[in-house]
Amino acid sequence: MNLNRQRLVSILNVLSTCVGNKVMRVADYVCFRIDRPNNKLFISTTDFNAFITIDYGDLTLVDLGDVPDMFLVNFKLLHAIVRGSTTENVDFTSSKSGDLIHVRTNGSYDLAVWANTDEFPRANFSYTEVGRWPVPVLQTAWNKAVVAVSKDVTKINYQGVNYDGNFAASDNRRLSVAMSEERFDGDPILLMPTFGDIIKSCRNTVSIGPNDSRNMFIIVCEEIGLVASVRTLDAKFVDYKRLLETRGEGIKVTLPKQELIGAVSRLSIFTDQLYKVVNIRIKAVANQMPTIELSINNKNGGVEYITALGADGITEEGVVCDSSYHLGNLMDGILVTESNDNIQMLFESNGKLWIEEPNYKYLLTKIQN
Amino acid sequence: MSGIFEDDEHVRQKPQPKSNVADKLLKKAGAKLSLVDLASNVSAASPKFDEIDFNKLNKAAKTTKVDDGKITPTINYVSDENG
Repeated sequence: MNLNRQRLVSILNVLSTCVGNKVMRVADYVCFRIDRPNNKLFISTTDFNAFITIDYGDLTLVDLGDVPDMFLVNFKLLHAIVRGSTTENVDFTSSKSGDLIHVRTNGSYDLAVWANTDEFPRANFSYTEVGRWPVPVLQTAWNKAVVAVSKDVTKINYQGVNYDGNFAASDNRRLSVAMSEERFDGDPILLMPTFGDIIKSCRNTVSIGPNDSRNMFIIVCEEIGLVASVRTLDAKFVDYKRLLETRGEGIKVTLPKQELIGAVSRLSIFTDQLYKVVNIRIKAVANQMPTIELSINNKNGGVEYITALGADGITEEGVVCDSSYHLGNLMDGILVTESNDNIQMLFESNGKLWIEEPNYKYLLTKIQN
Repeated sequence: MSGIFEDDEHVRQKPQPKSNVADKLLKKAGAKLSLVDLASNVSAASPKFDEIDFNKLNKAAKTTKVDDGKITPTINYVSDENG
């Protein structure tokens, strides 16, 4: 079997997002399955949380006679060999005993096959489409939401991104919601972060939806011949829409985004494993744009001042807002907004901070002093 | 400690029952059947991926797998008899 090396490298690069786990050796292997009646080759990997299959593409000119219909070889070894080679093609042949696959590129290499191919699971990708997204739009929406996923393994319902047409995530300290106008019927689905790793590799458009038992979420990207199945989290996400409705009025400021990123970056120097709090004060002076004071007061500390580009809702002079926030969480919300120039923030009197742009809301709760 | 939705000690929730009602409301995807059908492996002997309880497998594994890629040096002594 003679395959184009560049095509194989690009397939293995995508599959590398979903291979290996801590307990099962078969998960370290990549599965080649030849569908001779349809003249197709499918290459698959799984980490047992997700399963990816990629259609190699046109096999009209490929001689498939010298390898078995299905074989598994170590993923890391094969990936390293074909990535490090310079030949146009990669040639695969099976040993007479069947326990080795000879791989030939610049040199010849023997890879032991996984003897029991039945240990590699089979995936049924049958699904119900609930959305068809342009990949850049899907990636942007996902990236905005996923920043708020909790890293605490005991919080099942905060470990994923909720999909109900919108993408939403929370760690109970912040909420990040990327809204869409996609129509969505049925129960929301809680997706593992692996979903985002897979769509990074997709091109053009993807179709997504659950399988019949709704314990898997299927991704289909025809452009690269990818079909993937990702386990859904068996938990219910919080009622985030109710929280969005509680957004009240407050002080709205427009800040120069790059200046703000610079200030927060410099202040982050003073955070450590235990102390990550930044204090934000808005100082209003008559007939002037308000000044935003960001300060951190650890053993060492610092203060930054930024003049707002615009403001609304300020009715008095002096310090009109004085709240503390998690500096890393604040930075996450700033960075995922799309505008390069400005950033809109709304400070509610109860200390809730909203970072907003069209179709996106990021809510940050204040830290009690 | 209080969060924006609930107190942390009440955060972990029991698994939710699956809904069948919503499934019936949704239409089957038609346009992608070709790639999906071909990519679906229907070999009878392998375990079905969507039926594997990975959390159970994880808990059942008492030790993590060992790296058998470790190189063990073997020394080939030259026999005096042939020298």
